[in-house]
Amino acid sequence: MSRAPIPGAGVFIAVALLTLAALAAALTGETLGAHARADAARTAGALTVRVRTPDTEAAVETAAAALRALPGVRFAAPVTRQRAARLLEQAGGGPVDPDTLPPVRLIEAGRDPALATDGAIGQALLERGVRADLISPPPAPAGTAALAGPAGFAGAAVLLVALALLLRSASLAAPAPAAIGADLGAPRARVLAAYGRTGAEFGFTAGLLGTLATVAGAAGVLTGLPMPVSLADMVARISSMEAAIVLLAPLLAAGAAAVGARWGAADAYDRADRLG
Amino acid sequence: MTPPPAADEDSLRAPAAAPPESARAAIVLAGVTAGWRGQPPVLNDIDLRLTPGGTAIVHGGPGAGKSALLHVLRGALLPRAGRALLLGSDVATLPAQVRRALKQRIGYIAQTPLLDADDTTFDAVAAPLRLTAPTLNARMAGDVVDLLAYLGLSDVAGQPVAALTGTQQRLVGVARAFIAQPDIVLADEPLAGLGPDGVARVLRLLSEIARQRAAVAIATQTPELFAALPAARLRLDRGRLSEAPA
Repeated sequence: MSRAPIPGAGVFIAVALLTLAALAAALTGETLGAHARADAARTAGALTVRVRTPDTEAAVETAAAALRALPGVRFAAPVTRQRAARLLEQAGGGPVDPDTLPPVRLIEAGRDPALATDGAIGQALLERGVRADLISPPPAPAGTAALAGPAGFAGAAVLLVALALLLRSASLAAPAPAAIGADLGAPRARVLAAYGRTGAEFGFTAGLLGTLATVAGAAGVLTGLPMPVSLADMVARISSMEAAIVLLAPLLAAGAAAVGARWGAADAYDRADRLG
Repeated sequence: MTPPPAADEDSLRAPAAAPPESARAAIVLAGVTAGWRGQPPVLNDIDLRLTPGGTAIVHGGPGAGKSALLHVLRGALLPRAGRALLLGSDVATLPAQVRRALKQRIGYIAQTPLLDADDTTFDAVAAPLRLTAPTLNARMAGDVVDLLAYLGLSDVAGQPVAALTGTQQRLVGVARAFIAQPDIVLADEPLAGLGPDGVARVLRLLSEIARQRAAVAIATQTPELFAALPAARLRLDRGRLSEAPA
């Protein structure tokens, strides 16, 4: 027994895909944000100590003990040859024989930078006769953790708005011209292209008006506050992501409306083109 | 299509129904069974042959399958069994875009014309011409103007079709079917709702297009149409086609 075709199956599929894409964008953004926050927290407290003098293993052990005794230091351990070999293998990709490595005068440590400052650590080492360099990892890219989550949710919101525009545009597409085109034998692509152009024009106009209304509304609210925000402050508060969304909104609206209009027309065209 | 001269009674008596047998058939149905999507067949084992210049009038009651037959003849309803050759092409085997191009050579007068309410009368009639010439040349525009004048639609040429009466909308549908000088004209109750003058003019258009070597198939519930046009007389009853009794 053959299955009856589902009317508008394409719409169902689009709704499902775009909704899932929106969900995926939100979850991905949140996950990336969580990873970025965790990574930032981890790397912020990481510290590598390179012992310069005395150039002995005993000095390294002394320095590690001094570090462990400091408040705010979570751990401090000399880098063994085996550990150094593993790190080199990770970095270089090839096998490294620990026995071929020169003496490693390094200490890996974790600290709370607010409690165990570079100055306090340097002083503690000097008191034990050890001179060393303190090497902190470069800070995580600014704002990565803060941006990832909101970016995901903004992406999800954009996708859902695009979905709403697409469906509304499909429902607004007048069926008569498409059906007439099918009746007269007009090429399907040409009929749908005409709908797409009209949808894009309407969508772009709507997106532009919506953007202007949003900007005007936001400016009105901010200037109407008890302590008004200056124009410069307003501009400074706009993130690059927000600016991108605002600037791209008319194009996104145009694209979504064009696709929706084409869908609506395609349904009417196909029904008129083949009656059985 | 340039409308025929007024009161050209001779055209009504032109030998439209008797083209030479050697002519290539415009329409050939051989054992065609067809029906609407998801429903049982409404046409069963239909045989029909119509040559260029030939006219066939198919009489049948409500639900006999007349509209379905016309949709088969314009390639919108494909046979479930049998073969339908339109202008020499088997519609069931044609690629979709070729089948659609074939439709451009077929004028179809629907029982209820499908019109875009926003179109003006002129644009609605000119739509078939715009498929090949998005910008009408002077001759095409003149043909539209002449046809509108012939059908008494000049005064409403610039009005949206939504503002027209039902009769005027039917005449717009008639004009649109003729304007591109099709090779086949299909008419579903073409005279329904028309006044005596409209009936005479539409009959003259049908005669004239047949005289210009188009094949014409008319579906009607009123057997009186048999007397109005020289044509093959057929009867469709419960999906089966036969010669109508004299």
